[in-house]
This record gives sequence, structure tokens and C-alpha cells, in this order.
Amino acid sequence: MNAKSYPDPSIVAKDALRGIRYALKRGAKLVAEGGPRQLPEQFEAASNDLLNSAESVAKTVDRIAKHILGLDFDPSTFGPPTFATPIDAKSGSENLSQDATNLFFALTLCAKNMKIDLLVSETLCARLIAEDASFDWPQGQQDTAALCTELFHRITAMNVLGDPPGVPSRHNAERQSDASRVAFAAALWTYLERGSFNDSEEELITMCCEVSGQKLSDLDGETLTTEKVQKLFEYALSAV
Amino acid sequence: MGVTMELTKVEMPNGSNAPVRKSARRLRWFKETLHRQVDALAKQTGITYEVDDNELRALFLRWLDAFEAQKPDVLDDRADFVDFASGLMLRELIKSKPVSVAALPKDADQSNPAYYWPEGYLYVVLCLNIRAAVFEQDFDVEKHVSPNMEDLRTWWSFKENVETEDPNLAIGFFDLFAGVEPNWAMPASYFARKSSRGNDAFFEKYARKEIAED
Repeated sequence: MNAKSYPDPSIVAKDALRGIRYALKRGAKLVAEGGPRQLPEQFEAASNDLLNSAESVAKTVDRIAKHILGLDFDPSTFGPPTFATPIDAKSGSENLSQDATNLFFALTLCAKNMKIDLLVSETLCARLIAEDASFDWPQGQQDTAALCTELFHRITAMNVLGDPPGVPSRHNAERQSDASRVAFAAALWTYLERGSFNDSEEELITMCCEVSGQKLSDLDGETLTTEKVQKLFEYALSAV
Repeated sequence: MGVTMELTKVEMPNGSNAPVRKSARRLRWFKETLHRQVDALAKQTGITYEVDDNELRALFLRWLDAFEAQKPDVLDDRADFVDFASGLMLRELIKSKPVSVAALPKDADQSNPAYYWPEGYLYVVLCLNIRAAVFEQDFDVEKHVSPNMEDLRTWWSFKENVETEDPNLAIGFFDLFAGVEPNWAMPASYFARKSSRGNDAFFEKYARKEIAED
């Protein structure tokens, strides 16, 4: 896979629609939660109309997106990306789209599980995987914690998680901390050993989030070195 | 419906061929083992149990935290730490109550500890079984339970003390069921356990209270 190739246009379209949904829902939430509540009657009515309209548009976008692009989460196809399971590895281009979708849903489910409000970009997931494939990691020679650490750094460095354009952003440090937590749990899930137990992938996501949450404070601060992250992954891999 | 001193055995999950002492520190392994224990005991006793997996995950992580915090850098008595860690697990199970009883069989004999306190009995059997598996694998020792497992008065005392006084006492009671000398003074401290063996005053006060009242 050429690292500079563009992702499938449908992935970009999915991201665009998700961005619109997210911005509409979050915008409406901000108005509802932060808007002045002591408005004159006609403005109060207009404010309510705006909220109702935003909700209606968001639902329409949802319907279109689900119908045309299939945005729904499908547990039957959800599983670790093929770059983490060498036995399934085919050529990069065959798996790129499904891998990007799986990584996207892993990050989205982790964020939801941890009650973190961030938008995940499937386009950037696809680009990250394409670049990973071009690096041709010597998978069999690296230990799993090292692979988790590499993926964690790539997710955070590529800003796969963030706010969509046009949405008021939170403080950078707070967003970075949230993104790190989600990236850690998703990277852990990606490389988790399968086969010995019967837990569903969604249950594994929950477990990864909870084990990650146990050590969340260690992910904050300025002393987050590669060695420290790798140690945390060693612990988490042995605990899930 | 025989529930005797022979524990209701479960086959431990494979856990990637890791030794039981390592596997027991994995959330997936623990969850699978607890579910197997529930199924085995339900089959033997006719009790219908329900398991709350959210509570199960949370208690396991609390146990793992406590385990890591108490484990000495150098273990000079590994067998004793296995006993202690099993008692810690029992404490977390009793505090979190991840299992509840949906239905007892009609002919349940309440003088049998398995029916007197079904959840507590399940937790104790689970911890004893995990402990026995570690001993068998690591020390080539087959463990048998103490006659206290069938003594209803000990179970009265156990339930009353851990539910109304101090859940840490579960660690001492676990030792009692396992046939190990408990440390009643500071049961939740491994350091204190090592340094104050032989203190049986608390045992007299708590474990035998019901007997004295008889």
C-alpha cells in the first residue's frame, strides 16, 4: 500500500457526515446547556426552534448516512485489524478499508465507554494503517507491548481523535489527555491475545477500558516516555 | 442434593498455557472461572444464580490493586502469600456481591452452609479452588478443606462478622476454611500476618462467638 494514496472516497464521505452530525448535536447541546435561559419570549421560542431544527437535521443526516454509507456498528464484522493478526494478513489494499473501519469503531467504542466526547476520523485511521503497512513492521520479532506502544503513539501523533471543524475546541491539554486515554485502550484491544477465552469483541473493549482506567493517572503529565507507556502496556496486557 | 466437604470442582480455563498463579491475575481468566464455578455449583445444589459482570470486573481490578500493593519484592513464603491473596479475593467478592441468588430449590436445607448463605458459600468455594489449583501446580501439594466448611456455627459467625463488622475479617475466615492459622488482629495486612503469627485472641472473640453463646 502506498502511504500517500488517498483513502476510499466513501470513508472521507463518512467522516464528513459524522462531522456534520457531531457538530449539530454538540452545537445544540451547547445552546441547550449554556444558552441564556432568561430570554424574552420570542427569543426563547426561536432558541427552541433552533434546537428542534438541529435535532431534526441530525436525524436526517443519520438516516442518509446509514442508508447510503452504512455507518452503523456491525458486531458481526467487528474485530482486530488484520495488521495485528498476521495469520489473516493479505495485501494491504484488500484489508485497508475494513481495518480502518474496525480501528475507527474501536476508538469510538472506547471513547463512549470512557464517557469522553471526541470525534474519531476514519479517514485518518485509514491513512495511519496505510502508513503502517508501508513500514512493514517486523511483527514476529517485536513483543506485543512494543507494538501497542507504537500504535498508541501513531494514533495520538496523527490526531485521529479531535473536534470537527467549526466546533468550539476544549483546552488542548484536556483534549490531549482524553485522546491518550482512548488511544491507549484501543491499542490494547487491537493487540490483545485472542483464542483462549470466549468474550465478545465489545466485552473486550469494555475490559480494555476498565484496565486502562485503573492506570489512567499514569498517562497524564509531562513525563510520558515511550518506556513508561510500554511498561503500562506490559501490565495491561497481562491483566486483561 | 449432596453438598459435602469435597469442594465442587471446576476445570480451570487454559489461559494461554500460563501457570494458574499468573492466569489468576487476568480479568478474562477470573471471569471465566467464576462463571464455571457458578455453573458447577448450580448443577450440584439446584440453586439459580445471577452474575453481574460489571461488579465482577470492578472487584477484580480492586483485588489486583491490593495484590500488587501487598506483594513483597522478595517472597520468602510463597505458599503463605497464595493463602493471603486468596483471602483478599474473598474479601473483594464479599464486598462487591457480584453474584445473587435468583431461586433456591424447594427442598433447600438451610442447615447446610451451601443453602444457608449461597453467595458466600460460592465465593469461598471459588477462592479455595483457585488456591488449590495453584498449590497443586506450583508446590505439587493437594489441598483439602477444613471441617469448618461444614460447621454451620462458623458460617453464622462468618456471615455476621463480614457483613456487619469488618469485611477484612473475610481473610481470616478464609484461612479458617482452608485450615490455615488466621491472623485476626490485622487480617488485611500481609506484613502484619507475617509478623504476628499465633495471635488467636481474635479467633476466640469472633470465630467462636456463636459456640460460646450456645
